[in-house]
Amino acid sequence: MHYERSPRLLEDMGRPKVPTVGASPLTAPTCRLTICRWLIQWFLLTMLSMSMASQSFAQERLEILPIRPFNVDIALRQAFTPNDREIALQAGFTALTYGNFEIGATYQYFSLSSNEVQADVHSVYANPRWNNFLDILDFPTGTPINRLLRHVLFGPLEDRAVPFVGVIGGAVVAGPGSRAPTYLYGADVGVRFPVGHSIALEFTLGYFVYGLNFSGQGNDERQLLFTTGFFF
Amino acid sequence: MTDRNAMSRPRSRTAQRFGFLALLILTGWLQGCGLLIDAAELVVPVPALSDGVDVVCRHRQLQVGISVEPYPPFVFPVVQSPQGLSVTGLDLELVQHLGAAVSTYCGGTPIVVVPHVVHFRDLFRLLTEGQLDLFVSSVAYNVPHMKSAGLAYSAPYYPASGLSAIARRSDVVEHVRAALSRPAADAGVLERRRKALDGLIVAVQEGRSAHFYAAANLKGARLLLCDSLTGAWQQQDPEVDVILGKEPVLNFLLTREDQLKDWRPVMLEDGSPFLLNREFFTVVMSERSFRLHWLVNDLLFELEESGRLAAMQRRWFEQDYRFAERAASEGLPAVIPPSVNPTAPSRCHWAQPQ
Repeated sequence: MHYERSPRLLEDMGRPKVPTVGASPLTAPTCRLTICRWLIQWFLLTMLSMSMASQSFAQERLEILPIRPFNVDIALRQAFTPNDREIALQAGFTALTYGNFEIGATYQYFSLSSNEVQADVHSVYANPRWNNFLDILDFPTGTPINRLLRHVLFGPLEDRAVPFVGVIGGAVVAGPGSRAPTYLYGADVGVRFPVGHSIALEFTLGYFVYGLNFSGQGNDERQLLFTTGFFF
Repeated sequence: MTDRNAMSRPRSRTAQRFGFLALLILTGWLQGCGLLIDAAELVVPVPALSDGVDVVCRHRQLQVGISVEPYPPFVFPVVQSPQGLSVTGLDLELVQHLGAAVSTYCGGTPIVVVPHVVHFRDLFRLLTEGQLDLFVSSVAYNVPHMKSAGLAYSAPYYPASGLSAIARRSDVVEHVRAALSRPAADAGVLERRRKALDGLIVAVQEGRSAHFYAAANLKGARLLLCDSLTGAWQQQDPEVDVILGKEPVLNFLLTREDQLKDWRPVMLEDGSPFLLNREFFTVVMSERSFRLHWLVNDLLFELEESGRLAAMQRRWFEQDYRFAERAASEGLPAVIPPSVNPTAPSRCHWAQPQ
């Protein structure tokens, strides 16, 4: 889980050596460039997913801040060895919907405590999603691939599942070391099962890349996060 | 300085542990959050869930789903008119009345009715996810099946009918009649009618009430699942013995559809229709659209009491007309998503043995 960029490698590439401990690793112009590049990529991905999602169902309503579905996920782990615990909290709401396109806004908090790492990471991120993305595979006429995949993946709930893919983009607001505020990006895939009465069961596998690491001495901490819970 | 740091570290660790313990206890109380909501409501009333009709008023559009498979005269096939793709039928006239009722509810704001041609199988998802406000296509609410669960159904808008049958050959009609006339001591009327279809090739429209009924009750019949009724009567290899479907739709087709001139209804000995159940056609909505549900029920009551509902039924069932002309003159412009192809050839396949 610790991926640190090698100063030696950067030096070999003709770039200045970047200190990784005790000082801001990126100069202001480099940082601005990185954030700009990342923002452009994220914007393009969002637009792409939005256009693909809107193709699947014409003449949609644009709902701004529908709030629902919203979610609160909590994870607690306390080991019986001293100083070893983990708290994760994630709370999100729906910021925008347009047919099969949806943007969620989420606050995420991670607190890791062990003899090696002490970290409190606060992040906010947006999560544009393309719901029912499998339905783009509606061919060939006889046995459409999307029907086949839905049947294989969801069995008797094939017509009640909302599979989605999404991208994640946001910022680490506070965290260990001196890199925060910094970027956060990733992607997620999952499925939502609407249950009824505004409740849905959702499974999500998210891949996150943080612009810092949890020991506060480098960047690009990565983690996979599997969440399952109810959306209201 | 060093001493002070050494003192503060254990103190902060104790505070952390205390905080963690408090969080753990609070989490344990989550099952009692109903009490928290009660307490919050003492201060500020918790806002009610947004109802579907609020969204309709805000967007000035009533998104209506109709089945890609036509059910004349409730929903006719989509036709190309000078204004574009257009759809008509009794159900479409009904939703136009509904659009007017919602408009009144929204304070006179004009509401545009937008019919979306969708697959029946996607109904739950589209209604629950808020992409459609309601769905009409002669849907019977009293069909016990998973696909019918989790949705809200209005009061019926058509008199009680049921599942009936038509046959191509007269010997099949006679076969059914003969089976019905055989005395069976311990079998009731319904059981005798079901047994009368044993050994026959029975075609039904996949995913609709006839399919669910046949799968649950007609164990002795060979069940053929077709995309549409058209696919069922055009099926040649094997040839279909009986088509099971909604009685009003089958009767209407028998009188209007040229391709069905060789077909006849399966009747009982006394000339009454061969019915297998009772069905009540309703408007389908999301479970949480309470206000919309009230509006639809109120409108249906008004239409029924004023006699306008009966007049609508007579207009579509009894008058002589060409549906393409009505679609051009009074039809609604249909929205067809790319994943739906109304002109796709209909296919049939055998049902999996239960």
